[in-house]
Amino acid sequence: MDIQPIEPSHVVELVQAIFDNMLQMPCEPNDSSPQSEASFTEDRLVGCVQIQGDWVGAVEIHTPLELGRKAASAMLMVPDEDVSMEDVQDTIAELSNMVGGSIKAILPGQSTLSLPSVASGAGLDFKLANVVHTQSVGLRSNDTDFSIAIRHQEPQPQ
Amino acid sequence: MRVLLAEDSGVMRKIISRGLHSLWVEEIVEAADGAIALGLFEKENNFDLVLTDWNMPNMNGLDLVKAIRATGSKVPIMMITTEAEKARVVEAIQAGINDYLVKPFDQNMLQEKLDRVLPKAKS
Repeated sequence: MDIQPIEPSHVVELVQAIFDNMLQMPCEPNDSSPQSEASFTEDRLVGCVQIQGDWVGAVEIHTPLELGRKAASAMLMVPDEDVSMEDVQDTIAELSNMVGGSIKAILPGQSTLSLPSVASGAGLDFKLANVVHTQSVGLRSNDTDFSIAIRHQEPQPQ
Repeated sequence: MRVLLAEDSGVMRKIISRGLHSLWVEEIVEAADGAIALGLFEKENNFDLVLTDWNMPNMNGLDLVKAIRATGSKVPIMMITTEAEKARVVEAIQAGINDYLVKPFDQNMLQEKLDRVLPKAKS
């Protein structure tokens, strides 16, 4: 199968537009290779949307809880201490939805986007079945590393 | 003025409600999916504007728009969604929306769109 990765700089631009518009929080590319998501021991969040159609796969945001809290605080325009865990999960779900939607718009063919899902905890090991290619793009905001994973899956027979 | 807001994300409902309040909208009725929104629309049927997301559980925004138009209502409807492809926008227009806002947006873009669609709702 010929898999064309999405240009990392394009992914960075899409995420920067989302952070600028929705959070007024700058983010920049982080060229150090993204760590394996399972290696983290701190509290983390993974937001995921799946794409089905001519392109099959998923787009994930992997972020420390602390950055998720800052993002929720910025999105809701309230102090960090007033943000609930539900707000944080909801914010990461919506950011996953926007990143997934922006990436879907540049993929070939027609596809549909799933509703977002979010997992949280320490040492999360988030695995999708039938993944044939994973592309990770590292970013940094508020002095905190986070990453976007784009997973291309083998289409399943109907 | 009464606005029906169909959006499954709690944070997005808060952001959009904040924009509506700043434009002096008196009452915002929130629904977490399209099916709840349609139930409220059919029961109360006195909304001046409907704002809806596209991807929601139970009933999506496109089906909500079609169901509202099937009642014969001409209420202004604006879709606020991550669905950015031209084909999707065309599909929504054909279903009967009056305006379309692609996420992500900043507060100015939201205000501008609401400003544009609210006069239609008032007239």
